[in-house]
Amino acid sequence: MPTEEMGNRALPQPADIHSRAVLAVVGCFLLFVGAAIAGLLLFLNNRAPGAFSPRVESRFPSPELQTSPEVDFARLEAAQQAQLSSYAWVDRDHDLARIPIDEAMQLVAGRGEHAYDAPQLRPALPPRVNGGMP
Amino acid sequence: MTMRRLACLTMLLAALGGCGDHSMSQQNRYGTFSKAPLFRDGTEAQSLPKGTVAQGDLARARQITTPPAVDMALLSRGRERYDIYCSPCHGLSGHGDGMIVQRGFPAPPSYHSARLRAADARHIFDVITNGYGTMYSYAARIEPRDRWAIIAYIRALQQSQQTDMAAAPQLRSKLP
Ligand code: HEC
Repeated sequence: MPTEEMGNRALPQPADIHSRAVLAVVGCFLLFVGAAIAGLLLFLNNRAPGAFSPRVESRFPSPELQTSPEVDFARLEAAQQAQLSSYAWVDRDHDLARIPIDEAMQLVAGRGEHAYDAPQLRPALPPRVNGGMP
Repeated sequence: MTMRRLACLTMLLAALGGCGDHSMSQQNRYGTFSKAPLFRDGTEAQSLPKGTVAQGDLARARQITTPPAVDMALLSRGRERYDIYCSPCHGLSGHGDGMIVQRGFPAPPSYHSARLRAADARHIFDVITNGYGTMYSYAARIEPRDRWAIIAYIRALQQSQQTDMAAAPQLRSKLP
């Protein structure tokens, strides 16, 4: 095929694109997308107000592993023994105190046949006229 | 000569040993819960004759109904038993914070709560004997007398953790 013939050939398609129509389509599309986003935001704001706040990080409890059971036990035992071997006020206003277990055992042994009875505990009320005894 | 006889005897015995099943897995006896025509009620599972009493039953029943007198020896025994059997959950001081609870077991109530301070000794005895909720029975592990000893010691624990100073004025000077 001679080259001059190629240069003279008519273009396969006229250049007059309907740019208005293209712009209109693109514009409509953008409008539609914008409206959809706005509508969705409105809807979500209404129905699920928290949807856009950052997610709360859910925390699983960490596995309760003991690196040294012996030390843990010794610590617990020491703390509980301390509760059983010291004097301390529990409620000063009502004259209630903690005493060592050995003293308490003496007291209970001294109660005789009433040793098994529920301990007399004055109610946390002002003492009655008869000294709080029923 | 004797050698040969001995050899013959050994071979004979070995041959005899080879016959029949000597594992004794097939025995002439009744299987568990099977029919047993030898007995009058026709079953292998014979119940105890009426009125049977186990050795020591009467003494145990007496121990259950009559609490032993409380003295320091009983309390010491109760302390030892309590520390062994109860403290893993209830804690050495009875606040319901033993090691088993620290490791996730449901926490028992504190002995120093108003309800358990007011609880009857018999109630605690029943709890040890039959269990209570999550807590299982200790009847198989703790003799009735030791249960009473533990209860007396629990009373001492309650006394120790909450003493009315008006009732024990001699201790007042030791308080900070
Ligand atoms: C395996 C842990 C465990 C051990 C060991 C244990 N307990 Fe408990 N105990 C519990 C738990 C858990 C409860 C609470 C049960 C519930 O309310 O379901 C409880 C409850 C009780 C109560 C209160 C019942 C009530 O009226 O609320 C008493 C009294 C008691 N135990 C006594 C004992 C004594 C005495 C021993 C020792 C012989 C003992 N327990 C050993 C776990 C234990």
